[in-house]
Amino acid sequence: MTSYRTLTGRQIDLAGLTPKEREALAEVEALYGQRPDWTEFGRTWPAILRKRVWGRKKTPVGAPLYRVCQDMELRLGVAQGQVAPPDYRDHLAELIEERFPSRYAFCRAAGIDQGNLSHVLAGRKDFSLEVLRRALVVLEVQLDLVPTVEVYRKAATLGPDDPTERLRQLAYQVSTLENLRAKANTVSAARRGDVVPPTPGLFPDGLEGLRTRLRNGQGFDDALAAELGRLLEEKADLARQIATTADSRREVVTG
Amino acid sequence: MAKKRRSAAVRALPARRIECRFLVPMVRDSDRRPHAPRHWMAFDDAMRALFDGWQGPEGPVPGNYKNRSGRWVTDRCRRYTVALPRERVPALRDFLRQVANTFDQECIYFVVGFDVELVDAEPSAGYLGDG
Repeated sequence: MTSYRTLTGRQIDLAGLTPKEREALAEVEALYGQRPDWTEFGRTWPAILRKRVWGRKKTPVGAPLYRVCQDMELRLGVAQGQVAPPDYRDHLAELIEERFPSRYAFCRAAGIDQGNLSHVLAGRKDFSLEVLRRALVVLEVQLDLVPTVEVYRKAATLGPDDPTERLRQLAYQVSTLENLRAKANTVSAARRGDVVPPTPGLFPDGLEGLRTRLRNGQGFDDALAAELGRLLEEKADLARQIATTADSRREVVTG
Repeated sequence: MAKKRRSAAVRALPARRIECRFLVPMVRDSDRRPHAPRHWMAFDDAMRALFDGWQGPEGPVPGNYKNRSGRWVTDRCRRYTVALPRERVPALRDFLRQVANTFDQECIYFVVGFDVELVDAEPSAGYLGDG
């Protein structure tokens, strides 16, 4: 992993990590992969970094490794329903941290009252449209309309930039579809569509593609087969891509 | 002897402390929704900037209380335990006021508790089972 995308889309460059930091990150990532309890993970990752990297030094708050592990903790919290999915205020806070030395500097640049910003970030107020426009200008971003399901999809995973995480996600979706097929086999052909939950709930369940096919009038068996085929094809492509990357890396390492 | 001096220098902290505990509820008071990621990040960053260490988070710790409007509320919280010199308790209290604001809480459950000592290993004291 050479970079990491946070919940709010910020890219963290990992190229500068030391070998020790990479080992620590690998350990934290392996733990994260087991989807531990949010609070337990919140206790464990600092202990791993303290043991492997920080030692007795002061915690380097804001350093890339710290932010990545903290973001993994938040992702678990979001996925387990203990932390709210990020909203525009989280994006705003992240952009300010990324692009300005302080909130005060941002407020000066945008001509925004610091108290107003505090109220907005605390969730007690919203910016007026005029103030929001000024904030967007100095942050060099613009508003975009994104489907809610896409926001939750980003929040619940390490991000599509990470092929191993996407592979895990695909494996989960394939097994979900296979379970649905087994369940559907126990009911009559006419009622098979009923085994698909009508909505995904708070987090995507990987069945959106199947729902779309059913809504478009495709029969259950055909829709399921087509979806399974699509996911398995993506899984195979991704596995080949990971294998090729590993091969190239092996050649570099072994000469 | 040299080893003993080094270990004392590394710690360089007053040995007598007081143990404080506090609970951070996992939902907002006003709308009972979970907290935003930015609030947990700010909390984490501030804790690490203020303290050299703490126990926790533990939980979820369940709790029931009557809020200011007299309604019974059931909360689940994360519990943190910090040992610090007694003179820093007011600073922790100030920090918890900010926590209450940020996490949209009427108040924060805060226990200013027991005296804590860090007891140094001392070879002359002997070992367990020495008889």
